[in-house]
Amino acid sequence: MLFFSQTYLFIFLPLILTFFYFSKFIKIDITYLLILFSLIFYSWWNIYYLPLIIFSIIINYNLSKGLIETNKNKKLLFVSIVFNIFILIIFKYLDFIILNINSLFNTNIPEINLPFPLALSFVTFQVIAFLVNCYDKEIDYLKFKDFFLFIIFFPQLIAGPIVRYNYMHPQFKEKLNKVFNYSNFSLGFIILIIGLIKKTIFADGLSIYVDYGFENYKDLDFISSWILSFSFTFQLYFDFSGYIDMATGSALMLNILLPKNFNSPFKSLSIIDFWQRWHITLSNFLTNYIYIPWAKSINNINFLKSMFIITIVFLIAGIWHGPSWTFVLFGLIHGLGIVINHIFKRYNLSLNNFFSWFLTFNYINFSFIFFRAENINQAFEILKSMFSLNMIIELEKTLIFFKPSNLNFIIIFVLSFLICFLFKNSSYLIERYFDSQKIN
Amino acid sequence: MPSKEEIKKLISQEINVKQSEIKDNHTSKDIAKWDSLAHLRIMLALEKKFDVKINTSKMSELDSIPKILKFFDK
Repeated sequence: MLFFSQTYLFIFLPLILTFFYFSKFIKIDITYLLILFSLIFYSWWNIYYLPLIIFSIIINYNLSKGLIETNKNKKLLFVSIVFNIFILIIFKYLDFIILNINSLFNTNIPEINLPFPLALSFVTFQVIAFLVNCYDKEIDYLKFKDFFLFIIFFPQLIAGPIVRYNYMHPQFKEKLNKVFNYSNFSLGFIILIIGLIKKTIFADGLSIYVDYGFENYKDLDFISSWILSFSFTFQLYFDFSGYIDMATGSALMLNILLPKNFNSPFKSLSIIDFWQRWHITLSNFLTNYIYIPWAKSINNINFLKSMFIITIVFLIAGIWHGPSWTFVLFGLIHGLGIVINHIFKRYNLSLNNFFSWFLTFNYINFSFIFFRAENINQAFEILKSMFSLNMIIELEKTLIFFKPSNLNFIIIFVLSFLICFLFKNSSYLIERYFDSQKIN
Repeated sequence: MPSKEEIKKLISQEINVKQSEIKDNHTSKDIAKWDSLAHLRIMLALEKKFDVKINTSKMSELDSIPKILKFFDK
């Protein structure tokens, strides 16, 4: 089930909210209620995914129990992490690996075509963080139903944010969170609507042009290719952050505050800054559970070694997004961007704010072409069009996109710029509200 | 337990900033040089100097002077 589907908005959400707020009267344990609804939510798309996620939850529960009961059992931690990565590789990357082996060694291994279970990428990272927390004794007591809910909680299940157990669990247990809270409800509702608008009006509106442009990429000229790349950059932001808003809004109506995942990323002044504003919970995971442990394990860590680790971490982040070389390149481009930023910092080089913003935004915009392209060749073709200056000759092609029937697109395109660069964001709305609560 | 000044001194050495520029309530966001790379150096230095073990998952949380002090207070 997706958040912007009618089933979710008009049936599922009202139903869970009703049960949730009346759970006291019908004497249902809220944890079981949320688990049940989350299972329905998850299996709506395809019930065949359900056994795998339940299998993963049961195994991981037992592994984490082992980690909690033993003292710093490194072997068990290693086995647990490998188990989760192994499942992810089998279901998400096996065909990609086979394809590459075939083209490298001229073999003919048939592809397996396993269905990719929804949410598995997010669940894998969330569980790995959880296992490390158990190993570190940040978590010292665990009930099966609490762990089950932590993994399957429907607002964050499909596309994040990636949450930590010690952040979520106290909220689920808090007694005050089990009764109707009008301000949480109304703020949640507003955030949900903001997300819905981002997704259905902006992301979907831009996608019409983006889909057309990427399909006919050979016909692009200078202007249309720039419009195409900007359109996709905004589409991706509205799509993803809209989805996160809908998750945050839904969770807030259930009195659960999800962590911030976006913070006006296109206002960033560097690529480092960008990853502190774009998919924040992913960056946090990469820093805390890959970068820091790895850097710590190396003796005499120096600048060069840190830069190497950062590059590899972003390579992993890239391929995590999908089994394709375009995502590997996407990760590498960002890793390289971060390294360049660190070199600038190290040698105290700085640019003025406008120039920094301009460079950063364009760099992100180029990198997103790789995110969307079906193959590397297509990405480079589009980049080539963006830097071909035969604009006057091919103006006719550009004009095709500005037919009156595309007035909607033009309005959305212009509004996207204004919203991303000038407006405050939905996280600001939430923070301002909770800050005002604290003062009262 | 280390004092506030000891911690500020250690941070100032690790990130090459004058100790007087680091205020009691400062967080990593207030000091430009206290970035993610510097943060790891600070954490490793804290571990070494005060002979403590800071969990990986704890490290990112200790991003301000008050939080570091609170950590040692336990």
